[in-house]
Amino acid sequence: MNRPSARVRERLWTSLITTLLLCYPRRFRARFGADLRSQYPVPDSRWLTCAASAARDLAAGGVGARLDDARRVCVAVTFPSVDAIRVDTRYVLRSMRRRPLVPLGVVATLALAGSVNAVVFAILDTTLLRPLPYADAEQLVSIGNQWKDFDHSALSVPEYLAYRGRSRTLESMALFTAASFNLESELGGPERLLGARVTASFFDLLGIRPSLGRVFTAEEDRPRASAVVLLSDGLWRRRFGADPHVIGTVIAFDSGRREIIGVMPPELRLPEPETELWIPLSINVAEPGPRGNHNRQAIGRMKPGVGFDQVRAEMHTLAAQLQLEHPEAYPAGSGWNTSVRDLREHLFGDFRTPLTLLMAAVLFVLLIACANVANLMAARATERRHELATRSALGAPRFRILQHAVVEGLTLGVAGGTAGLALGSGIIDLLRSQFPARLLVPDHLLLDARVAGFAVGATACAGVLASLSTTPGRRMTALLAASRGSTVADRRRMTSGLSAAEVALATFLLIAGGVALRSFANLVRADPGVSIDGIATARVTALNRYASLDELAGYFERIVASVSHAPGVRHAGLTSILPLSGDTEDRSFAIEGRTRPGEPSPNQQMRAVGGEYFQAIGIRLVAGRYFDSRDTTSGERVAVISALAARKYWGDRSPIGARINFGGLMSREPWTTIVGVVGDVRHRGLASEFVPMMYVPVQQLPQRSLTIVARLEPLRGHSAGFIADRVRSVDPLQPVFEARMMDEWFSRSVAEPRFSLVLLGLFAALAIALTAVGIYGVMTSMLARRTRELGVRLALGADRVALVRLILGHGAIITSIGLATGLAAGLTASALLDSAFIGGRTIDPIVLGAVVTLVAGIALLACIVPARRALRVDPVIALRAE
Amino acid sequence: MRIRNLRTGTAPPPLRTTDLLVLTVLADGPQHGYGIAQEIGARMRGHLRIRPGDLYRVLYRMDRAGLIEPATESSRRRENDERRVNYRITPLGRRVARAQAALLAEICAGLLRGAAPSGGAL
Repeated sequence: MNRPSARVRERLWTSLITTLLLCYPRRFRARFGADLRSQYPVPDSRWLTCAASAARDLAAGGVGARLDDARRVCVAVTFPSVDAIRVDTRYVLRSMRRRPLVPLGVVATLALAGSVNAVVFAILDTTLLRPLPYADAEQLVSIGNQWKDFDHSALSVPEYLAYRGRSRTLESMALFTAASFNLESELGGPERLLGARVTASFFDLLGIRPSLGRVFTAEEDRPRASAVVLLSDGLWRRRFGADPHVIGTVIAFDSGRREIIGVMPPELRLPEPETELWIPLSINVAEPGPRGNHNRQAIGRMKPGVGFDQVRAEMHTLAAQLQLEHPEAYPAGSGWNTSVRDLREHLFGDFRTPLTLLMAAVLFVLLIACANVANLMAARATERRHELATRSALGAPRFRILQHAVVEGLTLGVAGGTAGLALGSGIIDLLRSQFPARLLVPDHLLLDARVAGFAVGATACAGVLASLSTTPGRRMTALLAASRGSTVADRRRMTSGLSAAEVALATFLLIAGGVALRSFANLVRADPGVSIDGIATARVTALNRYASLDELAGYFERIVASVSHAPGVRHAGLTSILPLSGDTEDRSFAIEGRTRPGEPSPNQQMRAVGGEYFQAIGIRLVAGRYFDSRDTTSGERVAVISALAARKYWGDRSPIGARINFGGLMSREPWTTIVGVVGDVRHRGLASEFVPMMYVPVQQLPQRSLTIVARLEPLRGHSAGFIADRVRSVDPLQPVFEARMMDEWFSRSVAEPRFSLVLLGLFAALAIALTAVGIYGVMTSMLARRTRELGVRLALGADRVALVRLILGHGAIITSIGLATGLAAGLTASALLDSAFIGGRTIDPIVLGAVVTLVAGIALLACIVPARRALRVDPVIALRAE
Repeated sequence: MRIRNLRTGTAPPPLRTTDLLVLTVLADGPQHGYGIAQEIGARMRGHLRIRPGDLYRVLYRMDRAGLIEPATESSRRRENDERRVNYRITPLGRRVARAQAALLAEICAGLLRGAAPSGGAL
């Protein structure tokens, strides 16, 4: 390779140093530039090494000098004189009153974007940022079991007792379980209430005090202790008229009578937001029940100074001990371990991704609004350039001009933010019923200092940003007096750039919305494995009104008979857990001839069903038979399994006639024969996979809580209420609840993704609307500035079509730059979107195509109006205007 | 203007080590950039090597603070070196440097006293 000649080398070196000196502030270069340059003579040898060393040296020094400068400016800006700010504020307000249209537009734009920001931030804040409403909530953990297929599932009582007895890192532990109660009351009729059974430690651990009365004592938490109950604030107001003397009242449940000893404050939303009463769990320490009964939830409070990782480590050690002590309960292949989670993460962790995504989306909307505001204000800045030039020429320091811009931006931003906050309050009230029930939605946005601070702060930042971006740069201030030359081109380039940025942001949001829409469509299209249309359901939980199992079986038989003989009902059946309702229940069993002694028995999801359940809900028969009248309490034990379960345990062989035992190989329990194979169902919800399932007749596994499922004849117009009435007619004192059509269950099961989709769609629509306004503004103001030029062109015989092409071409450039950027960003981030929405494909050509068409179409629309105006420009008037 | 008011206030902000070193060198007389760097290297016995990029950042900072200034009459010590600019300490710079040195000496005195018996010579 030829070495560059000396002259070329010298010139290269000089330009390298010149470029590097640009790292330093302008003021530095004016004073020290030449001297510093002299420190770097043209090297004689090792040219590249010298260049690299100079580059590192000068870049670091330059950035440092700029940092020093920034620090000085901060010092200066911290103490601007109050007088100057007052003068600026008065001036800004006066000029707004004089020409209110632009400021009004700015405030409206900021208010729109500010409102969605306020709403999403308020939800994010209450759900994920704020401490839970319990004492030292960061010390609270949720403790569960981890299995191969379940991340964090329920504990059994013996497990709880083992952890409570052995843990050294937890200060206390509490166990609880949701339970339902049938309130029998002369006044107001029977009602089924969602409640909880909790250990006495529960309230102390959470640090929650009753607002009335007391919580129960450890003595009351023993088996066969006096029966007590705590009411929720809501129940106390609803059923007892907020009576302050309610303590001591005895209320009747069908499970017995209980004395009210206290009322809990509304903050207590555990285990469920809808929980209305708490009774003692009454653990029998001597007989804690089977280790495999995983149906209790545990929380713990860490000792002060103990970290989360320590608790987790200790729990894993304890799990290893338990596994050694009870190998039959925790088989090697089950993937069992203890799972410790932060309580908030346990309660709201699944909201984290969607909420963060929504927050990003609304910040994008705010950015777009900011670009729009900058465009609006740029138009005004053009009008004000003479004034600024004069002020500058008269010696106003740049700092003062910047301060003016900041005051203007702050004024507009605060006004917009406040208006947005009010608007956001309205939005929250409108949407309140749409929010997922578990989500914490604040009641008053306006009164919440953090939300108000965020919303107003964000719009104020946007205002200042927009205002500063339209303040003329140093060089421009000097040139402004001349006013008609390059400044226009400068300004035009900036506003066009802003519009392109808007297009990019809107494109990105639309892609996010599109991906969400597609994945939602996939979700809704997923085959649930059961029929959705024309199926009515209602639930009954029969407790002590039917104490013996015979009475219970008789009651449910009468229900099935009553419902199935009702006019318009084709099939009626019962199930312990309705598909899509979200509950689960499992048992373990041994397979005859397959499970070896001592070998772990598989855990299997199981449902007890009765009547014509399969026919009613539309689960097809694959092989063998459904349950029928042969399968009675005293008859041979039978089970039906789903196709997936058949493949899982028996492979290609037919499972019909195979025998299993729920008690294990050595058990004296009678063996159960598989009599049928049925279709698979997405029991855990549409978003999850098909679940291997085992069904047993309810006669052979009696249940106290069952859901009645009835297939209605189409066109009879019956509703779920009709079925509920039939059930009620069997026993008027027994509460019937969750009377819903199956499609309502379906709709509930997709409520959360649908909610995200609606919000994302809303934001994308807002973004594209703001963008359209933005492009329109740029085109119009460009046309206004170039009226004279267009007039000259027309006068000189330019083709009007060419003028339109000029305008549309400008719009096309803005749009395509924005589209390209937005698409690139969208494709890059689609992995993130993919993880947030189920079934969303990483790159979806349909979504991309739709987004491109939509954005291009709207941009074209926004250009057409100014283009039509260009067609009507009269050269004479245009020239006279100047 | 506001900045100048701040800077001539009664309590100047503490100087950084390099700043103080530069002032110490310039207190002995005006010096050009390369010379300052050499001198600092010599006085620190090679423990500190200051690169031109950083040195001029320091000079710029102290120039803005009014602690040093370029020497106006170009003292041409060498005929072939007229491009070189000399810098000198301003009266304010001298005052600030002296105050800082006194403060540091006071602070470090205890440190040296404790170290003397066991540490010995460098």
